[in-house]
Amino acid sequence: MTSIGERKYKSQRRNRIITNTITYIILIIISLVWIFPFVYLVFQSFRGESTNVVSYLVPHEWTFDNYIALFDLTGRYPFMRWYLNTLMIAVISCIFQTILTLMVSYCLSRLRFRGRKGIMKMILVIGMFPGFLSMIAIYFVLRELGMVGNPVGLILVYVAGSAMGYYVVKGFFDTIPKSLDEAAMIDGATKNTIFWKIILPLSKPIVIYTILTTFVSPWGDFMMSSYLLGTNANNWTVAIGLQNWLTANNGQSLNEYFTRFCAGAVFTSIPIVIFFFILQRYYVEGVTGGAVKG
Amino acid sequence: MANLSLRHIYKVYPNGAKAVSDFNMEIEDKEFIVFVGPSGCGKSTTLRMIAGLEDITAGELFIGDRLVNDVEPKDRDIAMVFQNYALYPHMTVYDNMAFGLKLRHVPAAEIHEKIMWAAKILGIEDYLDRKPKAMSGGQRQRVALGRAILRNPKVFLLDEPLSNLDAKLRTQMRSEISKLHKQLGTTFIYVTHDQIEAMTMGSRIVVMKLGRVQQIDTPKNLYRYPNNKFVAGFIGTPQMNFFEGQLKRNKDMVEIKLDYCDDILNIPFNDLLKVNPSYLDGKKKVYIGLRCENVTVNPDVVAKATNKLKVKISHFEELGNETLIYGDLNMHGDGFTESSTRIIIKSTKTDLNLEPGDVVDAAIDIDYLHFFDKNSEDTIVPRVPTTNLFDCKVKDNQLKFLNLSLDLPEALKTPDVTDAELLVPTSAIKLGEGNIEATVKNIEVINNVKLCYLEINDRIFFTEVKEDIPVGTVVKLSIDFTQITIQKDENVIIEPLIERDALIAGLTSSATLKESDKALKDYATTTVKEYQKHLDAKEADDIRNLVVDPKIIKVYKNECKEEIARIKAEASFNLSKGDLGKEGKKKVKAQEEKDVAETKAKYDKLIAEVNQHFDVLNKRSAEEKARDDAKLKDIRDAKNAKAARADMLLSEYVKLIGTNNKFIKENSSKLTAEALAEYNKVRNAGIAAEAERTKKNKDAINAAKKNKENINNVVLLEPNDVEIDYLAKKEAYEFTLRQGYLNINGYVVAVNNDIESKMIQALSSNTFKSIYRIEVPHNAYKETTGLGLNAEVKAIIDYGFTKYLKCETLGKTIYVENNAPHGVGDILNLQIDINRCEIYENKFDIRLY
Repeated sequence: MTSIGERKYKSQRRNRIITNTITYIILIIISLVWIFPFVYLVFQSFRGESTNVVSYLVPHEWTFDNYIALFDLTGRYPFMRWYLNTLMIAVISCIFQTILTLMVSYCLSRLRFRGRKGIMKMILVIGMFPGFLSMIAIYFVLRELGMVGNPVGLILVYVAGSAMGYYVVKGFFDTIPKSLDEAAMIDGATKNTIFWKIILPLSKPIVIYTILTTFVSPWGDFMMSSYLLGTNANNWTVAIGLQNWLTANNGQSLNEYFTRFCAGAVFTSIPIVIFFFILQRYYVEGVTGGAVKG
Repeated sequence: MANLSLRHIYKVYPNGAKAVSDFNMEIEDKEFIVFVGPSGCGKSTTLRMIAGLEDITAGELFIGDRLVNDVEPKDRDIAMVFQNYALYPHMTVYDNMAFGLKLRHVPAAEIHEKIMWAAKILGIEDYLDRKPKAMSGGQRQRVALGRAILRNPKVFLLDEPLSNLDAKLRTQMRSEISKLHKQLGTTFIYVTHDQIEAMTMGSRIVVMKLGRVQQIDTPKNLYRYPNNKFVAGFIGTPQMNFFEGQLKRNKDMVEIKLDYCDDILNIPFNDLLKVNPSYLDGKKKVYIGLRCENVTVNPDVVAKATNKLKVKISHFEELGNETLIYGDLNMHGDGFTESSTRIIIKSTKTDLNLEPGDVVDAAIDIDYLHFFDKNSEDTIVPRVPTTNLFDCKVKDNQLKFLNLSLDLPEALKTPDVTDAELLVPTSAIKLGEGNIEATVKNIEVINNVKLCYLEINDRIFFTEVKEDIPVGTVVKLSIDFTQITIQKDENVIIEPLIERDALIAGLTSSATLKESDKALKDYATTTVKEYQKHLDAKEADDIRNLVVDPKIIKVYKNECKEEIARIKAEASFNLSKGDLGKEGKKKVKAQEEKDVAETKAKYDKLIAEVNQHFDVLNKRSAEEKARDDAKLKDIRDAKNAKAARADMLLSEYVKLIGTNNKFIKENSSKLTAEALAEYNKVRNAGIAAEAERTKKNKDAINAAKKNKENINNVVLLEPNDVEIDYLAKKEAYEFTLRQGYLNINGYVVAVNNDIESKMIQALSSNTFKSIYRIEVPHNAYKETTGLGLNAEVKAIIDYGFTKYLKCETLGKTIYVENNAPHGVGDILNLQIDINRCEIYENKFDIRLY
């Protein structure tokens, strides 16, 4: 004879199994939808029988040719050149953006000066406007400066607004007790020493988070670069180049370059994936570290 | 190893919140001072101001003899231990301790030695390579202490260092910190909210509440003689029992009637000599404080006691070695709520056999009763009394009290009055003068104050003395009538003269002049331009002095010689190797020659460059520099004469600024025009003379150049009298330009740099917007024939030895100490000696000077 308690326990258990099953089914559907484009992209990049767009997923003929073609520098579309351009732009702007963001955040977190709150609010409000609102103005300004079609101009644009992303980093700095600064001050440290020797070593997660975000955004940016890098294919970044493979000749090139496009896209995502895998632990700490006091 | 001095320290936040008000304290070398008080009382803020982590709004902080208000924390030679330890988490203990020394570039060996020393003292030698994360709270705090003692600071600051530790560890660390204090022999300042920590560690304790100091004293005195109810309740656990009641004097005894119960206590008046006598009327409400250990229910004691209270017992708290008995004086009270009849009794006898609900007699030790005023909560038995109260009467303008009869001065003439009270502050009794005789009964020393017990007609009263007087001596004394009060039934018949007059003022300078004062504006603009010119010239001079340094040629020559010597030595060394052969030797020699030539050429070029530079500079600046040098020399020589002139000019400028003044208004345009005309006359003459002399000097230099003579040998003309006068005035004007003036509704007083810098320190950008209250002592007024504060004499107050003129100015009454013959209705022109006044910011009541 089963007791009432046991019966109750069983029904609870049944309910839990049903809820879990439904939840997992929904999650699996969502993840399939989410993962399908990636799988499609990878499969298509290995397709050898034709270069045009097809409606099936698994290639009939497997090949590495699409990848090998990426390294061909002689053609009209030097992919590796774009790749290096992108890398250079991303690395340089990442370095500057990281330093700027960290320093600005430190100032806003630790120094008390007139207008501090005003500046913070202003940056927050300005940050709410989408970046492309200013694109035309930026284009004309850079044209006047003679920097259109020049990667330096693009780096300048990326770096210029970087301090606007101070918020997460400042939140992290705020959790570092002020008494550390004060102790260091009494020990004889200047603000500069405190920043480099006390605050930064304690902020590894947020530094890495900042490096990641500031690297990824120029790496994948299409809008700004397509506007500012002009028509010389040698100056392009990967994003513009790949887009060009699909749209050149009024879309005629689509069927010619589609598999190569897929290979390029996979190749482009590799560094980011590696980057994330190595630094994922810090990334999570960085994102959550700003919110919860450790 | 230094003493600290905190003088009138204020901390006011920009929103007007006052964290610390008027903090005054002298801390001796090697003292252990504890700041204690409830949270938010400003104790940490004060500590942080000493550390330099917070700005001091107003007041002065000295460490040793050095004013450190504007000194960076690292340069104050202090060390601080924080509540949360503030160890650098990413560094090992060793690095944590070494960090400060490394920043000060102490050699590594010395750092190591010091760390080992500190680690040994604190017993953390085994943890030096650990990170703070891997340590317990107590160990972390030890590291923090170690970091602080390493630098051997003058002052050691500790901000609630033990509050993050558990109770047992806290007790242990407490004695360790005390031990550390003895070992180091440094001044310690310790902040805590825990009164037990304060009592056990401090050599003196500062009790604070709401930003104000309540009492500064040794732990014993705080416990025994609390200044007010707050201190009495804060120090000691369980809290002191407080009852409400009244005191009534019946000849030799004082009857204490407790409210809300029937108990009455009787104590001899002799024990309450210092009680402010106005409280003995049986009407004024007072708090009566009694500590739990000074009351007992032990039957043996109760049987012998004369003063007893009936207590209804409500419950017990057993502490093992002793019992806290909670009860109520009111038979209807419950003994739980903190009412004015609840009583806590400490009993070391644990076998009392009492039950809740029992009503027992409790014996009271009357020596340990405390009395506080119900409204102000201040003690009414001050250790150093401030006022003596006598019964008195006035008849025919004769003040009669005790067996004395004194003539009232002219100023205090009043109608006859009987049964009045005479209040005489202790400071109003002056020994050694006058003709009243009194016997010295006792001299008591209380915290550097010598309190003298005097007796006339069996009545004891008090005054403060500076030297010891043998007991029994008959001394003469007089009473300062300006300080006495006579009152009857709370009607004040004679009131004392207020100590200082308060005047309201704003700060102004020539830079903040109004547009409407056009003449002044022009005047100011001219002076500004002059000053600018002067600055430009000075800057150019500085630059010249910077560049011209003939030593550099010598340096180059030496360097060149050394270099050549080195090349030659190298060559000869190479030659001496011997295995070169003929061809090789030739090669070496050729190389040597080439190198020498190159070096020579290089240094020749450098020297030529310098010389060329010198030529250019000389050409351009010789004449200017010579002239300026001469001018500077003359300026220094004429220093004294100038000081006098500057004074004159200053007063002239004050005249100009004070156009709001009534007198000036009437003569304003005339005076302004006159002053300007005079200034312009001097100025034009000066400029002309200067230009002429410059031209002559230039000509002389040119002539010398033409004849290829040494320019330095040319004797240049020196400024003449007119020119010196002009230069002196210029400097005086520059001074007046930067000068701030307190504008008391039109009358202007120049403030010196000291005062002005204090105002700016406290109020920064609000300095010119703020309103100030100037408290003027009566003798800081000086009559002047020139311009000043117009005051109309309303009455003459004659105290016999000195006269005060009651005057009215700007709708305010002021008292001017003045013995000159003046009549009612006279208008006085008064100058104020600002250095003797106290200056307050009016809105937040911040003492600035």
